[in-house]
Amino acid sequence: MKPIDKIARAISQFEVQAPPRLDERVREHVREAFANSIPAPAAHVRTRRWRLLVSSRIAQLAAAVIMVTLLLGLHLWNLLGAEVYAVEQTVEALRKIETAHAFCTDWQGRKSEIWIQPNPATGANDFICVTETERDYAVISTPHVSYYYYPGRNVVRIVRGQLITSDLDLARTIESLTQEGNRQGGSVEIGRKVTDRHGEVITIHCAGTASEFEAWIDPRTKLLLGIECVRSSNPGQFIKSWDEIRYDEPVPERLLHFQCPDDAEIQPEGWGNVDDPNCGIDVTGLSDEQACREIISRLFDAINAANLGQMRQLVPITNQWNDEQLVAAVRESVKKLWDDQMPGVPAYEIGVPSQDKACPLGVLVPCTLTDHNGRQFKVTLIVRFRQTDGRRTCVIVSTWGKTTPLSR
Amino acid sequence: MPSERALVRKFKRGDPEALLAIYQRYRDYLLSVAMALVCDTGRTEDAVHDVFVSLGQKRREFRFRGNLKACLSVSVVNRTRDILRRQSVRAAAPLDPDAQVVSESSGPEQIAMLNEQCRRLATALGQLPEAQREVLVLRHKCGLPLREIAKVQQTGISTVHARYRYGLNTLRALMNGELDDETDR
Repeated sequence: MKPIDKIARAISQFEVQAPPRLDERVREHVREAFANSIPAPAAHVRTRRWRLLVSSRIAQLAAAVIMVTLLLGLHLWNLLGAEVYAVEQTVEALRKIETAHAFCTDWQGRKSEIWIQPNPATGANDFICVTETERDYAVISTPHVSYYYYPGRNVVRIVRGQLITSDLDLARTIESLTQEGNRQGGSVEIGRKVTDRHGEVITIHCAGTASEFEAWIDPRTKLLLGIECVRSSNPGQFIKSWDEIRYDEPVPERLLHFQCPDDAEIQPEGWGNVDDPNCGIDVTGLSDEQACREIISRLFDAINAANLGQMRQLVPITNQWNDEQLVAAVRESVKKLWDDQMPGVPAYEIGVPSQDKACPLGVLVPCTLTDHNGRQFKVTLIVRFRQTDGRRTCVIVSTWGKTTPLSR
Repeated sequence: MPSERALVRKFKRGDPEALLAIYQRYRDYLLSVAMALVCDTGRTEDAVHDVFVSLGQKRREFRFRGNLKACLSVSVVNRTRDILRRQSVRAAAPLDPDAQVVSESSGPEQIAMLNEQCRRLATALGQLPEAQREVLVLRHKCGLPLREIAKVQQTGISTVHARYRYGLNTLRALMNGELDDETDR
């Protein structure tokens, strides 16, 4: 007998005997199912019926192409039949996931683990936990409270509100990536290739001016297998690749309902107090641009006058430092700009605020600073608008990205 | 013994015992199909359980065409795929040591030997990509022609041919001649 025939025979003879517990379980639940059988189809069954109506393969592909074209803004010439159908299913599947457990690598090659639990109604991340053993920390973030936990030092920093710990809105991943590609005037291509890690995959390649991503989809399950950021100049893009993603694993209880260890040192808030009602200025009646000009000019004036109280009022993050630390932080920032020759910000221009999806903390305001020697630098600040006791207020969250010298 | 068609008619009229009779008739076979695909006792049982419970819930929508055994096999394969998708069970999942794997062959020595062979086969199948594993199981365990498998996998016949060929070759390499030696004895 040929070896191949022997394998075929072995498969055909592969037998498993049902254990009695399965019989009992099936009997009980089949009888229940008959007793409770639903007279009218549920919503998801109606959806499936719609799919059955679109029963021919050509019609399915046409429907998928229309859906993907509308949803992802792709051009028809980018689309291949079977792959498009898979992408459409991926978009749908990702909206139904309950949890994701991802293994990631950052730009320095450090490994981290991320747990995400999306909100089924909004698709936003309800719970995110990032753990990085190499740097000994975990960040646990929920819409109401977040924690930085350093197990080695047994320190916990509690923060009000949600932290930016993931730049991926998992339930809308495909749309986000392709929109990024489309927005930056780049290209989005769907294809197929064989990878070492995952074997044959469907690929979505999004290349824009600021970033380039490739997402891999399992052609069998239609789920997202991973994402690689090939290049990025987006500040805050700390993950280079999502190497493996597992779906619908239960989030460990100790993370989902994190409690500070009894003997842990609890540190004051950091980022989270961007919503502190005692900070910020009232900008009721001002446009976004006017409000940004107002708060940023006040900040530079405060730096020039070494007015620490005003800085704390405008930039909540500075409240976590004592006076000495705050002065050192300002000196350090200014030193980076002016080689420590002259303190302060002698001249500045405040640009027009803009939204950037990569920065959900607030609007980005580019500023041009000029030193005493005429050298210019570009700094981008994050300004966050809030509603405080019925008033419109804003604060400065932090800088965004690197300070870059401008050629003269 | 009532015919398949008679059982299906009774089941569609609302008789749970008819569905349970169908279950009794095919449960071992369906478990074997699922086990070859997921190599895990719990998930295998879940797949078969879910197929029958789902049939009970949607009996009015059930359309019986052709071979009931093949139809149930495809349902189990689809359900297994859902389980793999939901739980991200990847290839090379360890075979549960509690699984009651037996062989159709007679004689205690032969059974003992083929039990081990089944274990090795399951482990090797677990190392194949899901699509290839599915093609091999549907072809040789369920007896479906490749054209039908292409429909189940919603892909072209040439892709199924390729998966079948790659799957067989990989499995042969993984088994490393073990099957050849034992089945020749």
